[in-house]
Amino acid sequence: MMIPGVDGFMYPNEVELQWSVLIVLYPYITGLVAGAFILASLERVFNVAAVRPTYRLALLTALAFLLVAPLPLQLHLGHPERSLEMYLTPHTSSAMAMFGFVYLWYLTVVLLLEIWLEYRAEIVGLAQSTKGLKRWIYRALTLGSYNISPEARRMDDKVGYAVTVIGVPSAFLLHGYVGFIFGSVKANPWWSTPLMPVVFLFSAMVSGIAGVMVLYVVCMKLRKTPIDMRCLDTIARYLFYTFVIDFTLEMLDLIHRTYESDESFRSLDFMVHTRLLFSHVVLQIFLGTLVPLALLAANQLWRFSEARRKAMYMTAGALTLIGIFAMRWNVVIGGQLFSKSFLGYTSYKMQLASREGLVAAILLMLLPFVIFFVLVKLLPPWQGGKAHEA
Amino acid sequence: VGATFVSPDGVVLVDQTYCLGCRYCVQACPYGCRYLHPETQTVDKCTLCYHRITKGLTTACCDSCPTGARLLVDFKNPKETLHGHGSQGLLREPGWRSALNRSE
Repeated sequence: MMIPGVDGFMYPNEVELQWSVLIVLYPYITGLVAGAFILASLERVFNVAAVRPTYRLALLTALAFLLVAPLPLQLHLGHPERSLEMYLTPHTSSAMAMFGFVYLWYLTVVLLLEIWLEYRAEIVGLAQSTKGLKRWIYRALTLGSYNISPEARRMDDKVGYAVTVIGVPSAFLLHGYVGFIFGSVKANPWWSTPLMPVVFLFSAMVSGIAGVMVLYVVCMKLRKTPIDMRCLDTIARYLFYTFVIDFTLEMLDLIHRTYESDESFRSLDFMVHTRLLFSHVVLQIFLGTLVPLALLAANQLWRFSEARRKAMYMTAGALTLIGIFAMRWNVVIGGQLFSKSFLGYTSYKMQLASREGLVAAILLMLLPFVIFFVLVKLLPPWQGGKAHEA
Repeated sequence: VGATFVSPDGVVLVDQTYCLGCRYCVQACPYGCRYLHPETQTVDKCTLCYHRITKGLTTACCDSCPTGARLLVDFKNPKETLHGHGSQGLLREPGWRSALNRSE
């Protein structure tokens, strides 16, 4: 009997995909976190003063997405209630288990600490000026420290700088590690390449920078405040640089695979030309990479009017976000469409309203924006225009 | 979390009370041997008929094979099968341990 959507020979456990659209969201969301943080650190560590208006915005974006990052994994687990066992009985040979520690390190040591130090003076101010429930929230957020003397602030700034310096390699580690989780699966030739962590890292930077850029423009439009074009131009320039590196790495991987043509190549090549044609060639490479790269490159060569630049950046940013999503899709879903026997192919049938279905995925993608909205209300990123002394 | 373990006699088993069902091991297996059990929501695999071989029996697949194509043998001594060692317990035989722990 033929099963619809299945061609050739598949091992019995390969017909149905083990990792669903939620596992596509996981590297996508984590990538946005790492990328947003790296954009924030541009200002702090590398003294790119032009991107100052997005510094706090980028940090809050990173936090909103980081809080959601483990949720798709939790929903996917057969036994989510056992997930904390990863921390209690760490299994060091499992790349998956060790991610828990990378995540915790990044959340607590890097992101929360940096945001707290950045906002501390304002939190203290708000704890004294607000009333009712808000007052209690801010008082809790001060963690009992009300000292905001210039000396204390200088200390905050120093520690904040140190945290960012640690934070940059940590952000690299966070997303490089997600790439490692896939890249280290030796049994899967679509995933198993040492380039995977590096490709993931650069695509994370690309998506995070594009994400913050789009979010910045949208926030400014909603607040009816003028957009700092120097800031936007600078972000777009950095997006262009990282994108060039990312695209080069991906093409390098492709050329290497094609030239090497190992035993899996025919099977993978067939898959890219059939089942992944739209999501890989059309969405990821053409619409998600070449078009935004061309738009960004044009801005490096010619000077356009402000309105046209905004439109070009926004188009490039939105296409980039779609393209990187397609890239995660092609890695996670694509890696499960072919048989490890290289003799057959299956297809992914996304469910609609189940625990791992489309509705859950959409809700999970909306959740970071809800958290972001709350964070922005609680810790307004718009003031604090002063540059860091560091 | 380390739910997969090697029994003292060398058989790879999954602790059903510990597995979280993340299916990373399913992805890591090149032979398609592992799957998610739809009822327990944990990963399951061939146990090499652990319940049988610990009683000195051979595996059910070897037992039922009409032509005897399936054999339990020691890789170091493929000519001698490990079937039919009686109730004394196959796993206590040194050959068994080397057959199952050949990667070590």
